[in-house]
Amino acid sequence: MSLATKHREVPTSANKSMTNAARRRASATSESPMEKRRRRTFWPFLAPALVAYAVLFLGPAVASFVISFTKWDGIGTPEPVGFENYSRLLGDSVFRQAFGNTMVILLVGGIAVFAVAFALTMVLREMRGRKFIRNVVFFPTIISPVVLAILWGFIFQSNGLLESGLGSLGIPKGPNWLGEHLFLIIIIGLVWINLGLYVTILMAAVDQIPVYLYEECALAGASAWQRFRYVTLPLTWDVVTAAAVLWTIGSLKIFEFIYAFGGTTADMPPTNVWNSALFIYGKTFGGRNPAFEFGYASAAAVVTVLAVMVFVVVLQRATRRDPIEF
Amino acid sequence: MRSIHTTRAGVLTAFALTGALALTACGGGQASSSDGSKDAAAGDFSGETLTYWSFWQEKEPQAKAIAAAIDDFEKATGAKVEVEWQGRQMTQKLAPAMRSNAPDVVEAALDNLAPIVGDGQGEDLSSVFSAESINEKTPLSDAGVDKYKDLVTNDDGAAWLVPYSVLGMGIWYDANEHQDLADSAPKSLDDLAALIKKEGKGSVALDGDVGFYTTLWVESILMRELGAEKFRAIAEDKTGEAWKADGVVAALEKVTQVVPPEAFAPGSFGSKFPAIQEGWATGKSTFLLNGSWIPQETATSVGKDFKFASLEIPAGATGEANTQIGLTGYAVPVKAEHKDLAKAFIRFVLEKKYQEDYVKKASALSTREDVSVPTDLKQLSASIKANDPVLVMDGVNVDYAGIVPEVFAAPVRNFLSGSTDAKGFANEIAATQANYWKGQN
Repeated sequence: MSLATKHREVPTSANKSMTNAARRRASATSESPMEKRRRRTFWPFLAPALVAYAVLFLGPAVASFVISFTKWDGIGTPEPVGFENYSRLLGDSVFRQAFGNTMVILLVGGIAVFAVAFALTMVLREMRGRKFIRNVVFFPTIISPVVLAILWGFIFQSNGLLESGLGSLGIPKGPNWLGEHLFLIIIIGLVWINLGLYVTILMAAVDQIPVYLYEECALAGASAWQRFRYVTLPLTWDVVTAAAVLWTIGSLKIFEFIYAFGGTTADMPPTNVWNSALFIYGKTFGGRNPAFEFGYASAAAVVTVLAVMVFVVVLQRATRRDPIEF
Repeated sequence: MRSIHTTRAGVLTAFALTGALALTACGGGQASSSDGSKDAAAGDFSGETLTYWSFWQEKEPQAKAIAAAIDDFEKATGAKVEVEWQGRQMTQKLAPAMRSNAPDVVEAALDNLAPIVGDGQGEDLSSVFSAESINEKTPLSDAGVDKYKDLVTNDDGAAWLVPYSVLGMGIWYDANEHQDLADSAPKSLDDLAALIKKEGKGSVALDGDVGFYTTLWVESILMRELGAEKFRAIAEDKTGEAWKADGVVAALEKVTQVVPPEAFAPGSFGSKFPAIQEGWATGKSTFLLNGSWIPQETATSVGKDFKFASLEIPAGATGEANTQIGLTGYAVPVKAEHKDLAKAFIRFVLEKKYQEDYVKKASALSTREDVSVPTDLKQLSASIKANDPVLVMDGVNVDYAGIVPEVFAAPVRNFLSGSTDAKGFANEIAATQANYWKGQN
């Protein structure tokens, strides 16, 4: 049984809908002059942001969708090709790998980020100077991924800092990190870069949990795992699910670190470490001799976005829980 | 770009479309040329403004040389040149600009410009090759620039680029350390293999993360073993099966004879560019197969006694040395507003005086044969002069965007590093090539 159960106050959906309906009725019948004025200013205040959003985000998104059904080099007139770009994607091993890599980053990277973030959160919760440590962990998040990518190049390359450091300790030369394990290093790098943000989010949620719950745990002789399983996780569940959606969307947009770490001044990284974002760049502007295949790249973007949307919906449904109030 | 050398039926429709577009767009320009185009040699352009996008950055020596020519051009013609030193990312900005806001002159390497301007979107600049200039009453063809005209002419017969600088490829070494090499340069691939073997393990520097550099070794030797056009034919095979032919596998085995995996400097396949190149500059390895930009690129890294020299990759079974080059030059978009002014400007910058200045400041090779050759580039220049040049990779990287990273890079890297043998490489590249061509239409 959860130690937090006695603090639960779970409203039923019927109660909720009645409350909302009652609120609406009350609002309609007794609207104050201030509320009326506020209602009148709703659209004038909203419109500029809505227009900017429509022009800068929705417009390009819709345009990308339309372009995905054309063959277009960005210069001439788009030539309608129906679903050809989509069928081509299915047969393109480079795209399949890039899409697979996106999913690996999303799932494996995501699990690693949350596992390490929770572990750090649990350690830091009871630690002195935790604010300082939290800032240290957060530090990579505020540095440009390009700078970190360059640093990681120095660390992991042959005769780099890692190899030299190990060598000075008498430890024999390790594997060819950049040559044979580039994608693994990229995932580790991405986890490291993003860790600070999720530690901060989770710690903010954990800080809200009343201390007496942990004290009760201590009295009951609960282990660290039991404290996590029966107190921390249930009481931070809403934050965890929101953070998971944040990671899902964020992982889709990962670009700079892979590009700067895997590529060179003029070249794209090797195709076996491309994710969808790099595939799109590689099929438009990337490399020494850009492909300018805007229709094909747009189709790749549409497929990736749809896949991630499905993933987010499934994730939200799978993680839906009644809220716990405490 | 898919026009140069390309015979694929699939692109004929595209040519028809782009050709029609080009004709439509050029209609006004051509009429104005015949009716009242200004005489480039007369320099009558006062009041006009030329927009010029360069792929050099303002602080680079190349830009400084061109800026001096721009000043003189403005004085001589009364025109104003609005130059934007955009750097290497220029071509990314150029593609969207080509639709409505195209600059009058663009300048970049052939393979950068080809996908944007080469496919019917560039003005035919054939007339510039035969034109006089303000200070020069002889055509460019007299200076030997015509030598490269075929390489920049597309299937419509339009010379869409006027090249001013030629980039050569060679095996670089320190002539001060190896004084005997100039006189005992290898005459055959077997000689080269023996030389590399004699120098010992790790004598060849290669930044294995740069697909263009790794591919240079394979394509150079294949071109010499099989012939230039043959390499293009293999790369254009839609199934990729051409790589598995006995003759091709034998030529691939020659690659491993010349540069076996142990010949490459330690870390060549596990470092970040330019770590290995810098190692070569500081004496950690003997040879570096690379371009004519190397003396300038490594100038601050080499010791004061370092003397740049290069060997050409010698002839193989075909008996041809196949001098491989790249080109940098000027193009004029068909939608440019001031085409006559643009042509006059290009011709002006290619005057001997300004090319001398360019060669001196940039330590580069000019396409003009009557200008000086930097000491470091004498061997390369002699090789280019002595042979009919072919484009690096026989131009397949120019004609087929993305072919190096998507088809060549990974298999070649595995091959040179010893992860696969010749047959394994042939199988691997056949798969990546078949996948690539499946998507081209």
